[in-house]
Amino acid sequence: MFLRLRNWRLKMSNYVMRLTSLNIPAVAVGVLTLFARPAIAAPDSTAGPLDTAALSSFLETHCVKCHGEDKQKGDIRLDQLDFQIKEHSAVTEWQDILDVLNTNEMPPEDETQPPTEELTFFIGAITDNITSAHKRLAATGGKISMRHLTKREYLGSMEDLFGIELPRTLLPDDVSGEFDTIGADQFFSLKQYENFYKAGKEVIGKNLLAIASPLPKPTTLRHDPEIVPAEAAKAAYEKMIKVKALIEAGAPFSEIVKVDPKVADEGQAKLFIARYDKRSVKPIANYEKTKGKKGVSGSFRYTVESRPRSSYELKIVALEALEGDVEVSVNGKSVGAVNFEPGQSKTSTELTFSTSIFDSEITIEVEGRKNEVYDSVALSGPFEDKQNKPTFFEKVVSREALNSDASDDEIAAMLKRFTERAFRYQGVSDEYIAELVKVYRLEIAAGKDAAASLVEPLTAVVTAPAFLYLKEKNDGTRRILSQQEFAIRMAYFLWGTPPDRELYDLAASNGLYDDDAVRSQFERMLGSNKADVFLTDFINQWADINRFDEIDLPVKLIRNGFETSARQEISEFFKVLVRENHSLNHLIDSDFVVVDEKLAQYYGLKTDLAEGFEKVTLPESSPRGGMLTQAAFLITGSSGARTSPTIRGTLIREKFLNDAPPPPPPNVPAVENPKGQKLTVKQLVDRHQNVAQCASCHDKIDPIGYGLENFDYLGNWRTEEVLGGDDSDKKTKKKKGAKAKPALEKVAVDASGYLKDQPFEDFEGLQQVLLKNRDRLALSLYESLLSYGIGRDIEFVDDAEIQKKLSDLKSQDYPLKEMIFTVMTSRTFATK
Amino acid sequence: MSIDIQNRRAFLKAGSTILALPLLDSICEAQAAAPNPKRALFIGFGFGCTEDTFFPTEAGRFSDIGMTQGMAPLKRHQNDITMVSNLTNHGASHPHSGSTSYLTGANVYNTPGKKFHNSVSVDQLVARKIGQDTRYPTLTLSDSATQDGHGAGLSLAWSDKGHPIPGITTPIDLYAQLFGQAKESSQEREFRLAQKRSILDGVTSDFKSTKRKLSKNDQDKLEDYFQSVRQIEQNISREVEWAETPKPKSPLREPGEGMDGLRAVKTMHSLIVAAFQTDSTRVITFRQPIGSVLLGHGLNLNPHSLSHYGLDPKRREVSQVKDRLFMELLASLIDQFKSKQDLNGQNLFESSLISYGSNLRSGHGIRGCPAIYTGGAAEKLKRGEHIVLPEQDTPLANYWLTLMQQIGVPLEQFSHSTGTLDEMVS
Repeated sequence: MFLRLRNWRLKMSNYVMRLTSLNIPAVAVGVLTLFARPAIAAPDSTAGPLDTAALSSFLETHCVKCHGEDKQKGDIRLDQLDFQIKEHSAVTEWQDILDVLNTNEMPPEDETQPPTEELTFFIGAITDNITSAHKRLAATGGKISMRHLTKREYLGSMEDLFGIELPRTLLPDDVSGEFDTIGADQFFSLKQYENFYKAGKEVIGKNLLAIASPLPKPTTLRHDPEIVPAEAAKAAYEKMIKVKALIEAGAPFSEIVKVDPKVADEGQAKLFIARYDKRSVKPIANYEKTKGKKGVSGSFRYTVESRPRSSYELKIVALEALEGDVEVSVNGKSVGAVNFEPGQSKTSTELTFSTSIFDSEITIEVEGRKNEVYDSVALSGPFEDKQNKPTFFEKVVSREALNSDASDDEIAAMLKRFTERAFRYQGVSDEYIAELVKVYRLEIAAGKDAAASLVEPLTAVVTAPAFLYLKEKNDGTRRILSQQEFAIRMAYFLWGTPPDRELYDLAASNGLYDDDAVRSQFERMLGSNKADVFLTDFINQWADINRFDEIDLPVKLIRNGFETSARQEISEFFKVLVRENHSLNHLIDSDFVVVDEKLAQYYGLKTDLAEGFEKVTLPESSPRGGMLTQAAFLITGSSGARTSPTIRGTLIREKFLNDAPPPPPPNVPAVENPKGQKLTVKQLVDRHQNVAQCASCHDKIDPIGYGLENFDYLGNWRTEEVLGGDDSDKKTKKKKGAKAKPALEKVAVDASGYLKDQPFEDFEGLQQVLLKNRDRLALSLYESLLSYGIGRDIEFVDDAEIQKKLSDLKSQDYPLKEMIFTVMTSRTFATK
Repeated sequence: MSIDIQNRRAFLKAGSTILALPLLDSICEAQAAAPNPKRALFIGFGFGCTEDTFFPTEAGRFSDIGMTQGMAPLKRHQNDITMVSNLTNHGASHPHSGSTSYLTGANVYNTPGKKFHNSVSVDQLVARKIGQDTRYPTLTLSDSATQDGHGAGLSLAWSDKGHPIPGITTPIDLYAQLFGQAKESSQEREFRLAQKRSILDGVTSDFKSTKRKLSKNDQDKLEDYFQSVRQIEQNISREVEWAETPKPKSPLREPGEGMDGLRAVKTMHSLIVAAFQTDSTRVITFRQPIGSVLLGHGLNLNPHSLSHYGLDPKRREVSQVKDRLFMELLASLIDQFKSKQDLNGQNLFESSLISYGSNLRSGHGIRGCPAIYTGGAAEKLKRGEHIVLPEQDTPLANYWLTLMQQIGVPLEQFSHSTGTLDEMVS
């Protein structure tokens, strides 16, 4: 019953091809996210204009004989095709042609085959043409899909309501495409609702509990950390003495073992005497040190239960002189240091700290040194935390309100006040509040107290669509946002939170659509450290830092914290570039880096940095500077234990040239490596050039990546490369008794390559080429900022404004802070 | 039956979901309580296999043609497994997406006016017929791998609307879902149901007032939200229905933390068997990881690099080890099915259909995708053979349609199917 047609094979293959292979351009090799990366590449990308004459000539020479006016084998005619793809069916037709070429099906085996260069050119040009056509056809005309809050924005919005810092682990990380803010890519599922519900309920429950539970009477708990070690020292010392006495008195072995089971046999007992002096040094010293004066030396840790959101006093008594400060931390955060004048025989240090709403216990850690002796720790509390100004939530839901027998109206008023802010002052209906009161009454009727009865209705508010979704009025046509909507979009862009009072007020008085006002709000907001989350999250998504997370680093580098530092470098660098308003040239090359001590050492810089990241000027001799030389970028561009010019080239095309390569087509012939040859990475990758189907794209990817060959797969500078390095041997578990490796053969690194017709000799040359093409980088960053800010892909309708804004920015040498301001004040940013 | 090419093209242009949906209701009506339940398990494995050592070339009974080197671990089941060659998922286009459209057949990147569009998956359709009498109509199991050749999506399963269905990714979570005892009394549950309904009423009324101010597109977006909330209500109602039936006692020990990837997949397999054994569900999909399993076996190699095994003889060797390792896993899974009975005393293997495959054949190749099935749930399906279909690139959707019909799902059309495969049926 299955299809029985004589020319089935031909028709079927046509049909297959019709269905396969049209993708939006994706992702570097091997890296897949929920959605393939959309092409931001405009038709004016580095691909250049379509050479239709050459394309026609190819078809004419190789195809039209069978698929032309006279013959239409398989019902296919190729002499009348329009190279300007205007509709979906045309995409499909071109895709068919591409697919039969990619799989070597056409021209048929018995016909003359096109020369490799011609085929490479044709496949490459048609692939690019389809890519841009697909983007054009998927365009929505600038429609922005409503979206729900990202994890960053959810936490920011909850922190705004509750006035407390929330743990990042409250929600799982978002799974997203290019930017997490793009509404069209979001699919809301039950799972997400449950995550929001769980997180909301936890925050609300803890807050209500903190308000409702009265402050217990403060008490003081004294902890004598010395007691345990002092007693241990005494016991060890006394055992020593006893054993010695027994041996000297000639006691039988069985008696000795009773005192010290570690003495294994009589021979050892004899030896014991000889070694006694040496072995007893430590117990004696410890005993002497603690004898009669109670104390513990070195570090210690102490955990007690505590009340959330309260203040505590900590008194630490030390017995012997300290050299400088010793850090004291509570629940992993530093709260101060033990410090006092040396020479004092006994001094005490008093510290205060507060517990957060999530702290139900306190762990005190003192990182002391060996020659320091502590006597005791006294913890007093809980006290009312004077530092805590009442939060918005505490003002709305006061302790008094919870304890009284509130009427429905009072409960409704309380819920309404909370809900209005949660819904970003975009309106709350009385019917909604009435439903919430109903839920509250259900809980009361079930026997819960007032605080517990508020958990569900309040959780309902922070899981309602008006809270979880950003609401922008729209009748289906594009329109300018209201000032309030603009304020909300602006605040979520720059801060990842709702607007603060000042911004809300300015919008409410219609004062925000004013050049000076918006400028001063921008400066205020970007200057605040609340903008760190934007600068970090945006650049991390732009740079695809999650690709770095997926690389398995050598254990040594993970253990010493290098991985964390390397991951952070790009965002620390970007924060400096933006806040100091540097030119975007710095992303390609800069005379400084922003590093911590670990990275400074990794890069061979002589520094002595305090904790954290700092700007460090590079010496003339250093090859570092710019994003390309950052360890995380270089390591992302690796494959196993070798560099991957393909991934590096892809990343450069995506980020720096705004020209993401199309995804690899299916069914192309595989590249094989001849057996027994030892190749450099460049020679290995160059094998793509031998197959037209591969070369058509790889010729525009790999040679760019060659420019970074002086950086090995871990991002270290090198001038020589080991031949035949590959991933599969190095990372597999070593077999026992494996043969010693033969001596490694090394050759000088060749970092020459090209971008289209622009050749370069080495890494510096690559940087020069990229600087020459920096308009592409500007476009990449501008479009990405805009896309992130408004929550949709950039389309052709945006082009005119973007070109205008970029030419303004170019005349100022592309300053980065100014670029963000320009994006935010563009008409597109204010349009729904 | 012959097929009109023009109509097929028109259908394909229209997109596949649209046609599949109207049939759903009729499936539900057709459902009746089966005395001898049937079960279905779909495993998808991402990147493909080693071309010249995994795939058999000769057609015939495995007992005659023998097993290839890659499939050798399945030898003890050679009279029960069937492999079908010359299939191609016409919806697949991306050479790194073995799983995105594996059970849907949708052409996700080429639906007019959409950046990404998928359609309902086979398991969801099957569950409408055979999954209605159990605590869970389907169980969706998945991995959290991003580099294993699965492509976009969260699991193999996609909803009616073509939205990704998130899966359970760890043995601990799966165990809790299957055997964790609810702390809620039935009274508390009724209460929670009333509460949720009230909250839903609240948001619905709030939504009504704002709805008018939103574009059609945004209203659709919000509909996803309401769908989720309604689903909670349905789930609680279902829990109420099942409240009198306590969860089964587990035939297995509770899994612990800190398993390596190989151990985790083995445990997932045992829990799949336990889920069927206790009749907790009758339809399961599992998007199986590669990288973590290899790591558990002591091989640290990115699965994508491994799929390009032709570049290096050492890689080829590892690729072959990988094939065998996964076939060993499948063989032991079949062993477990064969050794267990369900609650009615039926043999688990004889009452199940197990399907194993991917959109990806080998390297970047998507033509001739690997398709293996086994189990006795569908009496008429041939067992123990390598079937080579006469036409290259026969739609994978035809394979799914055949499997669905054979286990009693009354569908005439699925995704881009053009018919059923008589070659598979005796």
